[in-house]
Amino acid sequence: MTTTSETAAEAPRKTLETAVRMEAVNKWYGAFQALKNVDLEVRSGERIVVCGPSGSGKSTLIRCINQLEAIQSGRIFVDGIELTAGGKNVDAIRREVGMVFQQFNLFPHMTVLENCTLAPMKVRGETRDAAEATARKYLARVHIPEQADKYPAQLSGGQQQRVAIARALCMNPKIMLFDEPTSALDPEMVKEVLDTMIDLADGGMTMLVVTHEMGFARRVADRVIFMDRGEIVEMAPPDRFFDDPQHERTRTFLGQIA
Amino acid sequence: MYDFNFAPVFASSDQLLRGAAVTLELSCEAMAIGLVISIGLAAAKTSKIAPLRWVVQAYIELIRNTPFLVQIFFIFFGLPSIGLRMSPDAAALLALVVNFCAYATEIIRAGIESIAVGQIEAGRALGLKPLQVFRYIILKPALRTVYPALTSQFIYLMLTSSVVSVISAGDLTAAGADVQSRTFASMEVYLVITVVYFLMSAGFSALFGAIERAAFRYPLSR
Ligand SMILES: Nc1ncnc2c1ncn2[C@@H]1O[C@H](COP(=O)(O)OP(=O)(O)O)[C@@H](O)[C@H]1O
Ligand SMILES: [Mg+2]
Repeated sequence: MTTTSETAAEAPRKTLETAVRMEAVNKWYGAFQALKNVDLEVRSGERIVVCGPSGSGKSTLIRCINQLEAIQSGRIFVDGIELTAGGKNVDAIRREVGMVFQQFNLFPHMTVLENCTLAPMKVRGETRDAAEATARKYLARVHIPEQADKYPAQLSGGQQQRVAIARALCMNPKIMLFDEPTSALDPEMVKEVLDTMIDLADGGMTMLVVTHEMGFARRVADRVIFMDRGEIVEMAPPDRFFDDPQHERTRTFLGQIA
Repeated sequence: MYDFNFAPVFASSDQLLRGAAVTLELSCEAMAIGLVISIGLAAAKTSKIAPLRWVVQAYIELIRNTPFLVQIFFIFFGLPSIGLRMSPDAAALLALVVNFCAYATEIIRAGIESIAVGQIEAGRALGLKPLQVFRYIILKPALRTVYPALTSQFIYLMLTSSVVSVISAGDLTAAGADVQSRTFASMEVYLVITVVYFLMSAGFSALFGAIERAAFRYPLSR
């Protein structure tokens, strides 16, 4: 191994117990600033719910963490690894970070099982048998083991989103990002997905969840973040966040969605 | 009333069948090679690397704005001047592939561009590299989307292959021309050849339908 010295050199940057750290992060889309000087520290095992009006930068915030969006200034550390501008670490980081999208984004030409085994086989180099065993374990965990051989189009939205969660879990991530996971669902399917996420939270997963499901936030969040116009306006534990918000903008927002 | 006489044509049926076989072989080879190259070119055409896109675009423009016959002459009669000498068969295959790819690349590119960006993001978020995303996530749904257009282009390739008869590649049209020049039964020869091309076309259509059913079994949402 020739990386020993590099690892040693990197060691001081590794803050144990910190899953994600963002320092003075700024993000522009062209001339439009989507994130303004964002500082955020997520500890390992912590559950954070992010809310805020449409266009406030919630998606951008979590998409920067796995580099689906590049930042223009500031620093981001994920599991102690710094995201570098050239994106050299990006593959290492994506292996640690699972993501669940609003639109599920399952691969339509693959069965549920194939959706779950693709990345473990192609990215981690697992054998098919090992990957399938893991996939079946997580499909059971999200309560759809019997759908393994179906195609996404044959499932309901709630089932598809649970497959998407299982697919992310198959990579054994340390952190899970959720971008409005229930917003595209019919109302009767929201609960099954939230229950799956609660189960995940109870299992100790580090989670960053963009959602307007305030019941979920109260139930699982350690901290709730309110974003507006690219800034983190307020961040507090759920009781304080909901019962005694400090900022006028937070109060207005909570009044609107209540 | 014209007096049909198919006897001289049927007397040469061996030669015509050999010609048909050459046409089939040439077409199948060009389709297979052309498909693989077109997928590569379409990937290049949709890549982030601008010079790569320009090169592919220049090639496409060049081929689509010049006659196929001239392309064949260039390859078979022109290239030997710079030391690239090849058999009529090889020149015919090369010309067909070069011509087909210009059109097929654009078709496949449209398929690639029809893939939702969320698909690509999901692949990237899972840690797949860009080429893996292309190979495992984009390619199949992209091909499915443009499959009808692609198969039309395949059929067109087979029909266009008759043009290679000008360099005596021994295809069906060349065989027909030879039989015609010996028997002077122009009407009968070209009638038979027309029917044979039509049947080969129908055969390819049936084959492509079977391939579609086998390769794209997954259901589409809504
Ligand atoms: N790819 C993009 N190009 C330009 N502007 C974008 C892009 N993505 C998002 N934006 C803009 O950035 C702002 C924040 O977007 P987003 O993070 O998606 O907000 P949210 O998830 O809170 O609704 C919005 O004003 C949006 O229009
Ligand atoms: Mg969003």
